[in-house]
Amino acid sequence: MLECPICMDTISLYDLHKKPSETDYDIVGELVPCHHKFHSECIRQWHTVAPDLKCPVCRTLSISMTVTYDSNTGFERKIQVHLKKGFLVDAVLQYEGMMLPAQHPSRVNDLVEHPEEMEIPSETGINVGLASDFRSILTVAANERVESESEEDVLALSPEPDIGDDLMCKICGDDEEIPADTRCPSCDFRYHESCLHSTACEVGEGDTWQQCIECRTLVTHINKIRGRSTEIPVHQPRSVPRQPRTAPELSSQQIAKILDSKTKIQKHVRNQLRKYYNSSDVVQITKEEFLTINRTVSRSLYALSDNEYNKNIDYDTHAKRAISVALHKLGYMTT
Amino acid sequence: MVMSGVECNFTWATMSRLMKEYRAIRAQKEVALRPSGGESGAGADGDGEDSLRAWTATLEGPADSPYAGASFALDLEVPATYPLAPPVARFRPRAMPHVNVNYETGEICLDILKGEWSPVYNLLYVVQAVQRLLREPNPDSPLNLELGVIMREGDLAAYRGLIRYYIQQQ
Repeated sequence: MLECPICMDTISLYDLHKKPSETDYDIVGELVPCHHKFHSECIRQWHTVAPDLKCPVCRTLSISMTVTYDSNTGFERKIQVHLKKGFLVDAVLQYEGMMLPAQHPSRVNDLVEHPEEMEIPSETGINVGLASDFRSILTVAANERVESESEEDVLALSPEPDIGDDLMCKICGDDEEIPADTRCPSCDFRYHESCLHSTACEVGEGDTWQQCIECRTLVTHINKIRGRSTEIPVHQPRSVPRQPRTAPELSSQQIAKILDSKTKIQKHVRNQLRKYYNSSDVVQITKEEFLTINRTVSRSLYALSDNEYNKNIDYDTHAKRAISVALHKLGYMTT
Repeated sequence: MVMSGVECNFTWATMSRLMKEYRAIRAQKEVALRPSGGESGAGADGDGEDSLRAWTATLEGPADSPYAGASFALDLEVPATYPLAPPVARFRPRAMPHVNVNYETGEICLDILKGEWSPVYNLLYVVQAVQRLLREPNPDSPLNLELGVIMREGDLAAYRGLIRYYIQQQ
């Protein structure tokens, strides 16, 4: 049993084989390079008062910290916090904290925005559902093109955002003073632009701040004009010459490779999920539920290995676990 | 009873940790460290919070040192931000003749009680570190200049004699 050296309480580590409902996992901070583990909150509190970034246990100078938490999709997720890049401790603690409360916004928008995914799953239909993810990868590589595309998409396809309902920023949890002014078109999470900025900086990915922290889709602005709400992309076309892009251009080979990886990963998910769709088992899900769960679970699995298919990862067990969490959220009882 | 204006608002985290330390301290026999108000709790409210705020350790002089045969009270005060801030440890005024202790106030010069503090240390560790300081005085950061000078001159007989003299004064 692991004990946090600062508060002397037990650290409850993520365990893939435990039922998600059994334990609340702690948010764990592991210092790099010494690998000493603490409750993330404990070590970050110490960092706010410590004279330096030395490990409290071994006095090795820490460069970064790996924060591991159990996201509400039932997955272990890791973010790398670069300690020397600043001390936006509040932002990170809140970022971690907001992963815990059960926030399950409706995913109806997914289906409305990507009607092409509404196909009956089959062995040959593995690639359906990849379209939106594929686009978000392209987005990184080719900003200009997607800017115009996504603007059209949003105007043409997205329903009017439900202003006034759940305007809480997913990062700071606040909507009192300033309403959350950006929104992820995919998972419908709202954010303050400033919160996205500071969180991205704190985790050392400052140039990705326009992305939804959950699914990495580019966020859009919510504008309220004459009582009617419209959405425009956060990043406006610039009249000044562009800065050199930091995101690498993806070759068609790389894109093909990513697609291939995602297809392989998604196969695991679909295999696990089909049990609930095609069988005469206790749990019977609808086609819409199949697609929704498949999408969210697959995305979480892609994130495990940075969009690459990793033979060492037990995708079946991961998928099973996440599916059971997703089913649970939809009100199904699984054993 | 009027509390002398002392703010004592331990957070839940601090209290939880102090309770764990309390149990660990009670389970060991090597170091005599107890809450200053006794086991039953010094706080008038009996809520236990005040009772874990102040601690007293009794240090026996190490056998191979000039302090042999004598015992000294070491007071520890736990700050509200413990364990992010170190406890304040001091001897009683005019009771500890030691190179790294201010004789008049009992203040101790020890790195781990200042800049080298780490939240993974605990009360027991602090007492043990002070105990080590009795055996291994550090002439580089003297708070008792008289003893510091004699020690640096290497006059061991005078050094031991002066400490014994102080102790017998009490």
